[in-house]
Amino acid sequence: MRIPVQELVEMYKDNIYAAAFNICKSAADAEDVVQDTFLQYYMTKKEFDDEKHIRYWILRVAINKAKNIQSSFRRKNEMSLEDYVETLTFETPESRELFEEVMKLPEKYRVVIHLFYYEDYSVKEIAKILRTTESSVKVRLSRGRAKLKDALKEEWEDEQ
Amino acid sequence: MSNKENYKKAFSVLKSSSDFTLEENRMEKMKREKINKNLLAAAAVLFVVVAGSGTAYAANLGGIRESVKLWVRGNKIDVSYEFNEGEGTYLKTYVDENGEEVQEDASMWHGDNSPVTMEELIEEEHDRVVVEKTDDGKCILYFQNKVIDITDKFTDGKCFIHVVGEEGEKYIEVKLDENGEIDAYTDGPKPFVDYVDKKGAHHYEHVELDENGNLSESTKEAYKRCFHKFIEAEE
Repeated sequence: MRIPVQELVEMYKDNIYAAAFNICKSAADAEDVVQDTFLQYYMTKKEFDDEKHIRYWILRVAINKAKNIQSSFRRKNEMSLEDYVETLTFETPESRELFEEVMKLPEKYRVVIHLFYYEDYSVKEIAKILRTTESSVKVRLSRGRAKLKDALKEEWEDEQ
Repeated sequence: MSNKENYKKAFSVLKSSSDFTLEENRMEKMKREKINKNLLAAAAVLFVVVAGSGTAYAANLGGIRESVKLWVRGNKIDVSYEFNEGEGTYLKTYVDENGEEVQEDASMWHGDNSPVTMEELIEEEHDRVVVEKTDDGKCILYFQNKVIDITDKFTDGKCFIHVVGEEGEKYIEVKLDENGEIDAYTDGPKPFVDYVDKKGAHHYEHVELDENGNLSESTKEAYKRCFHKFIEAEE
């Protein structure tokens, strides 16, 4: 199946942006990833099983594109992360603190944390998206949680 | 509220401000431009022998596959690349040090969003510097056959290092962010010097080489006259 690209943009634009921002830590680079990702979807001849499959595919493409930007010097860095966070309106101070602490995590923990808590993916699904092992995902999830617990104390629940 | 609910609440502030309209005409135009570039690249590389590796590969408009020996984390191993023409992506496959098959996306694009050719990709991969932080906090740099622990080589969040690999050399600058994580790294053929001025402050400068590829004597003498210490970047 295929979903028309304009429809897909409305459905997942912000999800792609959030995932890309998580890696790039730059609004400008994340916007580039959003555009490049949907363009790539538009251009691919691939047929998908269902909407879930499409979502999985565009997230994987977006994460790879974000990592490519991160490791090259095409990065834009027009605004620092700190300045960008100042432009965001958080519901509570705790939300802001959680956001800032997550963005301080090492990238490999941050991505796993984001895919688990924001995109609701399982360990198995995250391993497939990131093309790594389930045990690696579990370790990164565990360490990411430990760092968040250490930083946020009671604001972050203990989890297995 | 659960961690999941709190996380979603916090990150729901991230909204794309892209107002790009993916109207059909514009998308078709961009698609045509991208396909034309791919066709030109494929036509120009009908049959190429990659210098140094002695490996030949052939391109056809349906897709490109190639197997070469490349450096991965200090070891020269068989790596295969498969180009998906429809998606403009490259899939990299190899067997890691644990005997596990690893598949990674190796896609790269030029600034105009056209994918690099197989030749460009392999050249890039052959010359790649990788800097990673291990789970126990060490910072490891990989370049061809060299695996270097640079954890203790940072000053003020920067590390400058000259690395000579089996098939080339690099002058690499690695930067850490305020949390001590790898922020960025750049490499190039231009060397740099690390010197300390009369006030004891460290400086790093890119310098030019003489015709033999060495720092000119006059440059060295000038630094010695002006500064207390002159240190050439260590390998």
